[in-house]
Amino acid sequence: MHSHRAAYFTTFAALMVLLGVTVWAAHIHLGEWAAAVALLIAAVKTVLIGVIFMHLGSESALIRLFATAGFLWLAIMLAITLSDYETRSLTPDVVPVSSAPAEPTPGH
Amino acid sequence: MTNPHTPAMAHHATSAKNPLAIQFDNLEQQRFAASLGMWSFLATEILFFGGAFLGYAVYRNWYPHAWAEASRQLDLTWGTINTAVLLGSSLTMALAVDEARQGKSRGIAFFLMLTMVFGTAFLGIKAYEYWHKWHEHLIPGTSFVWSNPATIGPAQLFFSFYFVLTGCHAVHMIIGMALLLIMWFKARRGDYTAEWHAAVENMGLYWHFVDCVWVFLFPLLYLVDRA
Repeated sequence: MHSHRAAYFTTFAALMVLLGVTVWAAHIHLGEWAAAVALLIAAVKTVLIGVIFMHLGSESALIRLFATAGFLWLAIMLAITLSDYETRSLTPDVVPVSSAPAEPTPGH
Repeated sequence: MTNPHTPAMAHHATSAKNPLAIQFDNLEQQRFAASLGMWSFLATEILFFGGAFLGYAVYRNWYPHAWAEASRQLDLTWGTINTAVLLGSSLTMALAVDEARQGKSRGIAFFLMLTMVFGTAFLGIKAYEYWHKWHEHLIPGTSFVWSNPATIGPAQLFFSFYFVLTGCHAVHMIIGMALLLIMWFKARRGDYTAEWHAAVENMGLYWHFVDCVWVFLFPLLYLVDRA
């Protein structure tokens, strides 16, 4: 099998650029989008590592399915749990909103 | 597919000369099983860290201001340097696997050693950060010191997540480093060939996975709100 050394160095360079982008993006005021942008960049980095460093790009469909499955169960766990916590304020008569101890106004 | 090395039924033990175990028809099938097993393990690892990530998500949404405040106490410069160091270790690990695929034992050993050097640097920086947090009384508990009485509770919660998540990650790295050291000796002994080096491939998968965990930990812990 021939070497993929050049592809690995290119991937590393791309990961370094993305690291710079995520630190830069954290310093500009994105409000509630900040977390989404940070997670999106992290996801792109993970895909690069998975597809090139972990060879998912050249692996069989079954192995790709196994790799995806872990993230799928994680997504199910996050989605179902957060669909509860994040919608409690919409139904205050069913679940008291005060179930989360109210955060006092920050002192700065 | 036929195995170029041995008829499947003729050999029983796995050895350097004949790596094929009796239950497999050929080395490609054996490699595939090893890889699939590793990916199954990594799927459980995603859920191991996933539980902590879920708790993080709930509390961050409950206490956004306290978490932004606490996150700013982390050292962004060292955090960024450490992320670069760890990504560098993933590069050298990928290069070690690349050497293994070409059957170059000395190349494998060289890049495994580089990976261990980067891994040690990462853990050293992490230890320095922990020491600094100890010094600043940011360990959750009775000696926790926080200037804002309104957020002292949730701030400790943030630091609990910080230490548990980075601690679990560090434990994974320490295990990985121990395995790398064993693999380094074996590579120098010439145990890995172009035909059979599944252990190196799986070591790479583990190391890159631990790297991916950090890729998420870094923005979630260090970059909550730096604007």
